[in-house]
Amino acid sequence: MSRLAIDLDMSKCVSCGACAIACMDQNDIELDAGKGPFRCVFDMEEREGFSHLSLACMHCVDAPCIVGCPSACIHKDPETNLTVFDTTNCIGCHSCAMACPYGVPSFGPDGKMVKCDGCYVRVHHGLLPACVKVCPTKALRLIDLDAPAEIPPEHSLRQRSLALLERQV
Amino acid sequence: MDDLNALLKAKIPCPQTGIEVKHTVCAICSPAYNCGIDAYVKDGKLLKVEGMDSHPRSKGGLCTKGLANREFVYRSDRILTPLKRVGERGEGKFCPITWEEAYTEIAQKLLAIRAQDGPDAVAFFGGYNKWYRPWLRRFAHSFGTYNYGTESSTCMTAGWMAWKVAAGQLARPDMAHCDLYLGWAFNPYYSGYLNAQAAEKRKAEGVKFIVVDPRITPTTEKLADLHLRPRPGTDGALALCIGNTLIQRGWIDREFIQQHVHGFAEYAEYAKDFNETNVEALTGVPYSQVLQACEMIRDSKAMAIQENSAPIPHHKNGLQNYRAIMALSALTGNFDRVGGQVPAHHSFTHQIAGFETREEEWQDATAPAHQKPAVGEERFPLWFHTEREMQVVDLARQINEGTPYPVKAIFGMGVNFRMLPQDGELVKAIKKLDFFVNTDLFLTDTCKLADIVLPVCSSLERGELETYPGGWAWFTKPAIKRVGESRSDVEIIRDLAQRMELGDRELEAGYEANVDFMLSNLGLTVAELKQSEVPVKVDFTPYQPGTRRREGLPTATGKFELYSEMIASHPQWGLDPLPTYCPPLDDADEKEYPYALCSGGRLPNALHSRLHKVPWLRSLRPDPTAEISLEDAQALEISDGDGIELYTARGSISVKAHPSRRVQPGVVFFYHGYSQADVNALMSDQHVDPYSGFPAYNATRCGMRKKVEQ
Amino acid sequence: MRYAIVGFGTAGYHAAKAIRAGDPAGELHVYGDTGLAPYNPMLTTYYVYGKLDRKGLFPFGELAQLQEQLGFTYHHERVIKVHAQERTVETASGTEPYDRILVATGATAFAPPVKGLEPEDSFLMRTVEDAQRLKDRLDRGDVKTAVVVGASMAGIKVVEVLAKYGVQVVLADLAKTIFPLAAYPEVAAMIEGRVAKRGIDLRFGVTIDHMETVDGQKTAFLTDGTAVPADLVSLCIGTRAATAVVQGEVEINRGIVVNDRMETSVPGIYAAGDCCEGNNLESGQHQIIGLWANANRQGRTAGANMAGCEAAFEGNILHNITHFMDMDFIGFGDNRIQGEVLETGSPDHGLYIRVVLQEGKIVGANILDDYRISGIVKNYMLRLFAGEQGKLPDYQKAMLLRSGVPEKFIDKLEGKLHG
Repeated sequence: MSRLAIDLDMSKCVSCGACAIACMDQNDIELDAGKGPFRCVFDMEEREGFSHLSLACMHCVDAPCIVGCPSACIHKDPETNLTVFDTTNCIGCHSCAMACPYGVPSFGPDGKMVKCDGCYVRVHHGLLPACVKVCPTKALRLIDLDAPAEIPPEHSLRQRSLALLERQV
Repeated sequence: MDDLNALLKAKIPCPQTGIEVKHTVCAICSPAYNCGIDAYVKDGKLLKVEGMDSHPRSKGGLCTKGLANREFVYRSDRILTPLKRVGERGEGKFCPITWEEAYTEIAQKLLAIRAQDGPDAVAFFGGYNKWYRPWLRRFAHSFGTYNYGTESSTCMTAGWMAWKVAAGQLARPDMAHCDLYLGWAFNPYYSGYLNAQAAEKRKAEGVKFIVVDPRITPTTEKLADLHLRPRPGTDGALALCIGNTLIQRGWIDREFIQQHVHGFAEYAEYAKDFNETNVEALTGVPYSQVLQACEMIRDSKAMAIQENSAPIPHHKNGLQNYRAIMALSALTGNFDRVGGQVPAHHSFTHQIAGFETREEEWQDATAPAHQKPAVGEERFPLWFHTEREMQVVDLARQINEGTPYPVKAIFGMGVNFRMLPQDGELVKAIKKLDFFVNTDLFLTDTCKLADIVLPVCSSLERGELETYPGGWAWFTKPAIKRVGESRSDVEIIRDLAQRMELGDRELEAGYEANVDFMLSNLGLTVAELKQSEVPVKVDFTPYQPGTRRREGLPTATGKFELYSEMIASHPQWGLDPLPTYCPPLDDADEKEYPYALCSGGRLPNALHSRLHKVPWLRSLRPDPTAEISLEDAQALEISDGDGIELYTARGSISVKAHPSRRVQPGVVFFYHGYSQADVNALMSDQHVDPYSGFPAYNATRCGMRKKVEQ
Repeated sequence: MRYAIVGFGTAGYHAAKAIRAGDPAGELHVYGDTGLAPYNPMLTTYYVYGKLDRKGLFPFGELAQLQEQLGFTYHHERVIKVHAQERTVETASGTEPYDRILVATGATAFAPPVKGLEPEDSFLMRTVEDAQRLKDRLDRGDVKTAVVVGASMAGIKVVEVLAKYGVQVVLADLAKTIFPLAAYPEVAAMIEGRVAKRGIDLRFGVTIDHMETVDGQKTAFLTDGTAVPADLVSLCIGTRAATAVVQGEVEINRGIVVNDRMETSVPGIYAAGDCCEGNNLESGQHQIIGLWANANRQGRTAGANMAGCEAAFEGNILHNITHFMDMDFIGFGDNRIQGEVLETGSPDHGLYIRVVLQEGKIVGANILDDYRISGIVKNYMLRLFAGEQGKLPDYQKAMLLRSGVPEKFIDKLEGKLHG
């Protein structure tokens, strides 16, 4: 098995939203039914500069949501180590949301958790996650945690947030 | 290992799921792109789109807009059958009719008007998409009129006109070989990601970028080595000052100028008035930055300049400003050389693929005798001189005033009245018409004004010729089942040409036969192209930069004309042969309307009005939002998300405010095409460029106030 | 190496997993009195409500399945005593040795006797058995009225279940407000208003005194003398750590005291889950923080250390998210600590935040209705307690803004914390 995750090169993102559209197309997101994409895009203006962000599940190695779910709905895909889920027993308690330092898990109109599953079935079949496939600036990457880093640590959302993730219990 | 449900949910193309990947194209924006799509299809239905990896140009890419093709194609307001109006114009009440009924009525009405008022009483107006334009133009000609025109009356064409005036033909920047890129109004991240990818690649290879943009954009953040921020519409003054500085410092290519430039002395004399004493006052750009830009130009071996469709031309002085910018290419000897501005021509539907086709010959083969002036010809003579078609900006006026002669009917294809300035005038005009036909995928607000509406299909539902830079040609095949009874625009033109017995056998022969003719100089046929699922390389000799220098430019003098003999030889036009400058704003009262309204800059998720109703795309920016400066926001006590009103003498719209450092004080940026906040209603049909007829969408005085909550 | 785990809840399960990860060959004995796979006490009300089937109470699957996966011997027996000196476990069937042992006995619901309350009308809500009893009783259809004692997270979920069954409910608590251990009084008042709107009769400052049958109707008499009909009484007063098996053997306060390796005062004896007192990062004191995620991490840490791998669990803060009656209540930290209050949003518009600040830290926070920001706020608090000066990074701030937290509020909060 490999240990994969989706990472963002924060220096390359331009907030174009292509990833969010691809996510909605891949996952049949019907906005009228109160659903939303698993990936959110931000064009932020900070005092110091501008931030372009595309945020979704970070597929943490030690994912706090997995530990936090009272029904064990969330688990690691054995083949890819992506954080995937089966919400048959999801009770909509929102504990996973409280566990996540990135604010990722959300809940659909049926009250059950939804989030990015890294398009793991696509990955099983040699395809890239939908958002990674379309990113016009190659800011989003499917990365192999056991291979040399493709994104410079200072630009990697994953690297930059590791310390913060470690605090989450 | 994944069960069938998982495979279906993930849309895995494989025998178990029955999902196939078919190659097609996106035609949401312009035929100058037409990126390849891998369509995930099952039972004729589109399940998902992705960029097409095997596409030689887009190489697997697809932008924000194109990725929404599934929702676009299956938008809930797709028209399923031909419709006949039963209510008042604009009310949107229609009943379905058959194609037979629709064709019969259209043919009868148009022929009756021609019989009574002559062919020029009918205008043939093309909107989006653009793929059928040669056919619509020929259809108008065969009907007997030059009153064919398109939305390109307000987009892109002015840039080509500027080139025709200066160099006799258009040119393109050779970004691949330059060492300095002058990105004037350059933000490809929002308009053309392929350009952004190319620019990033060149940046990594050491190419320097000067970006000229009033706003801070992702491009200025990521690419610009130097960012010049002129106030909107002052580009001409800035370019003239750069030109003057280069001349004063001797950083110009004297040899090139001597051999290939006409009017240098007149230009140099005129440009003297734009210098260190006034450039900052005129444009907002400090002279020190102008000098910095000039030093970068001095140090570069090859400078290419960004061409653009709207930001420069959408000004009262747009075409002249465009000329002033491109003059820098001539001054520095970067015209017609590797890494500079390379002369080019359109291969097919505005795509510069590198090879020539017989498209132009075909589309003008039935051009009628020029009798009555085309719509807009008297008001915008340079436009008609270079384009030989109507300038649509004057269409509403002509219908409403009836001068120089009445136009009684419009045969429209994908017309969107919101592309025009003060568009209420066009709505009023359409309501006055005897007959208005429009085709579209969707029942748009413009369709709601029509007597007959015809449903057309998308690019995924038809086959068509595509050409691409690098010398590629491709004939696509339909990837999915057509929605409803929709037909392709060109099928409709063919059917009507037959029905109306215009005597144009070629047009009646249909799209593929016509394309066969257009490709005949290349020895290519549609049948051959169809054998390939992907674009094929066309065998041709590419243009060698420098050829025009040797052989002479297609201008009166054979040179790059800083002083245009085309204009000089028509003193009755009242236009300046030199790329002169005038300030951009209209003469509305400065106190009442203290802001410069700048509309039409691109959003990554929108294209005119076409995508505002695609829920996925709209969700990225749900509210029509104006970007204003922090300073103006503070002065008016406006916070992010507050409601504001923007107004001119012609009307007002309510939008949300987004104060941002990206915007200069005194400027309001807003996107166009919203039905609930139509900024073009604020624009003036008089505040237009007399050279091109283009509306001054990028600099119109407006007022702004905070909306008081009820 | 011979490992023993006493109690097979989620802490025990996670310890077993960690032991197996660190020592695939060691001998592993699990002692449990339920004969069941680990279940989650928090899920019991969802089972009664009908959101989960019985299988859903057992997140990790069947016991046999787990035994196969993890390779342990299951002793379906109640442990009487762990003998620290002898390193043995005593059950009714005898005494067995261990090298390292984990006490993961959890907690039990605690309820004082109520005079006049028939055992068949008295309900707790902790175990699978408790849930089954209540479900069976409600399915009989003869419960029209009820009193729930304890306005806690468990209490409100029981109220929600009863309301779903059409039972008229009185919720009583001796405290003055709902969620007395987590909610600020101002926030509690907002919640009480909403709960009352749902037709729930809230009584604070009182508890049940005794039961009587009045005119054939079972009736609860509250401590203020009022009488309310009560076909059943649910006691959600609290839980107590189950520490009896190591009583007198290791250091125990309210729970078994452990260090950050989850080791008790006696080397080789570990404790994890609701029976133990870990570190409260806010107070620096030992405290039982009885939460599912906490138990999981503690169990995992204990197991890893038992198997000879170094692991530490620094502790946690009090935190809770309760989703009930279409709302979320999120509480962080010690709600008794006073300080400067910052608030934003409104309970009527899907987001309300109340933050209490002291000495450059967020000492407590209540959030109403927006679960999406809860993880980020918790993370921020934890980082501040760890002494970090870090501001909210853009990717966290973005998500807060998206949820409707005003930028001005974030600026103000950061300003207070970082100057």
